[in-house]
Amino acid sequence: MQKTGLYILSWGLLTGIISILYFFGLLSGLPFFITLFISIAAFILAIFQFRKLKTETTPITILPNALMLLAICLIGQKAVLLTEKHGVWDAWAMWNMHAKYLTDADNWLTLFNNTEAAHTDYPLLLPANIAFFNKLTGENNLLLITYIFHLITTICIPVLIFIQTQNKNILFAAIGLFWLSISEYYITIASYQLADNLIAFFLLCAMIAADNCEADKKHITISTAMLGLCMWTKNEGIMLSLLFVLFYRKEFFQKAHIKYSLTGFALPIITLLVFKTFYAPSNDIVSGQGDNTIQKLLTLNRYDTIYTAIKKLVLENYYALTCLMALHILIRVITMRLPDKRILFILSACCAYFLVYVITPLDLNWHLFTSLNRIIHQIIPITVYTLIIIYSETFNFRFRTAFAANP
Amino acid sequence: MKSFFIIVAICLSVIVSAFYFNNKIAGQTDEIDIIENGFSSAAKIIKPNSTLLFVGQADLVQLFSISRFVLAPALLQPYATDKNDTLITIQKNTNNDSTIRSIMQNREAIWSVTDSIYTYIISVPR
Repeated sequence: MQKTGLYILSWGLLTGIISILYFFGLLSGLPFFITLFISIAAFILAIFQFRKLKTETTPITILPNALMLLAICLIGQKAVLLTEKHGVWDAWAMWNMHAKYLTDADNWLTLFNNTEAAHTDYPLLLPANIAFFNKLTGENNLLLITYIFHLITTICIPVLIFIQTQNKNILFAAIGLFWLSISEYYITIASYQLADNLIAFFLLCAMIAADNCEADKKHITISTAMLGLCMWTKNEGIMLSLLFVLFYRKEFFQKAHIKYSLTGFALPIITLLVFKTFYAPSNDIVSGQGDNTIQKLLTLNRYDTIYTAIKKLVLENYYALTCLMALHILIRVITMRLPDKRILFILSACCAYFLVYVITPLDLNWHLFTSLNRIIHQIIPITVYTLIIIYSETFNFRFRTAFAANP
Repeated sequence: MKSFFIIVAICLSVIVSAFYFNNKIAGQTDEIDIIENGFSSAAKIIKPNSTLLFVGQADLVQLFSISRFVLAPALLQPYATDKNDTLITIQKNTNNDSTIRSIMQNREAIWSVTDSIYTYIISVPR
């Protein structure tokens, strides 16, 4: 893994440390400045551990750096043009509202008395970070803090993908970088100020760290920590992380790796369990299941509605990605090999989402209309990363010799 | 180029973008800001630990969510039956809501503000 990649991963780690310590700080009634000092100390400790990791020593040459700087500027400029002042409905009506409760250490538990469409069962990584930074800057900067927090994550995603793939195939990596930097559709959803972009970021970090576990076993800890933080971000994160663990079970649970896996999982999962057991109400989709679940599963119309909605969204906005995935599967079928594990994970995630929509107790059309685009957004960065990696391995592209530092 | 400079580039891009956001986007006024301004003088009445009932103009479902966001960490609950709680009402100046009118008959307003769009009233039972 590149050193810059590790620095970007440490942003994810920082958000995790802050949210967990802030949550426990609220629970135990710790003064804010103590939470702040513990957070700084924990982050410095984690960075020291990070520095011990083996990183790639090959320097990134001028061309990749120039492309990266251009992309960073483009995203910063595009995001501000595409964002809304308070974010979309769910951003202020849920995430930022939760953050406002968490900012008040004396009355934060009132949050859970909100019953009307408040989704107080959502984990607290995002609101705890917004509350932490809002408190740190004087409690009057909610808008700016929220915008900056989401923008950092939005920039980190394409940069991380590019850094990790540029020495495999500079052309494919550059295409991925600029597709994520100039796609208005992608950046608009990233600028919604919701937690889906964070889920996408943690999932990407987990996949990159898991792919580097052969270089250093400590990457396993980073990968599982990122999955834990994915769970601590949103309920879908729990489903995606479990699925990820299923696909990477050999890496995570072989005898020599298990202690590294558990180290990463421990803190986020303990925090999530405390939150879900003692504070969060039950999730509306889970509690809405009953006798009619079987009936929904047997209603073919529901499958048709969901398939049509997914097909429309994917073909209108992610046509190239879909074609490249289909081509990869076709090549693997012809050569009688299983598709890449990461592609199978992405397809399984789509199937899991599909199933959730089939059994949703909410109005299906409304549920699809209000959430499908951001649900698909969660898996776009890992799809781009995976496609760059697998096509770099498939084609030995001539541009590589011209631009890469180590052809 | 060292990793440090890439991180600096990200920070610079974020600072420039945040500066633009703060000057251009954060200065815009939307419905949330209008309602926030409407309630700005009610801070003495609505404490952070207050629990209040809410009833808004029937055809404007967003009023409850916006008011809840604006008044957090006070707790706002939708009005169901007339309990002995403090009640917040918001209705359009041009189109008075009959439900709100009938609820207010048994209540006494302790604070009220009117802006260009809405009338905000905080009331207690008589």
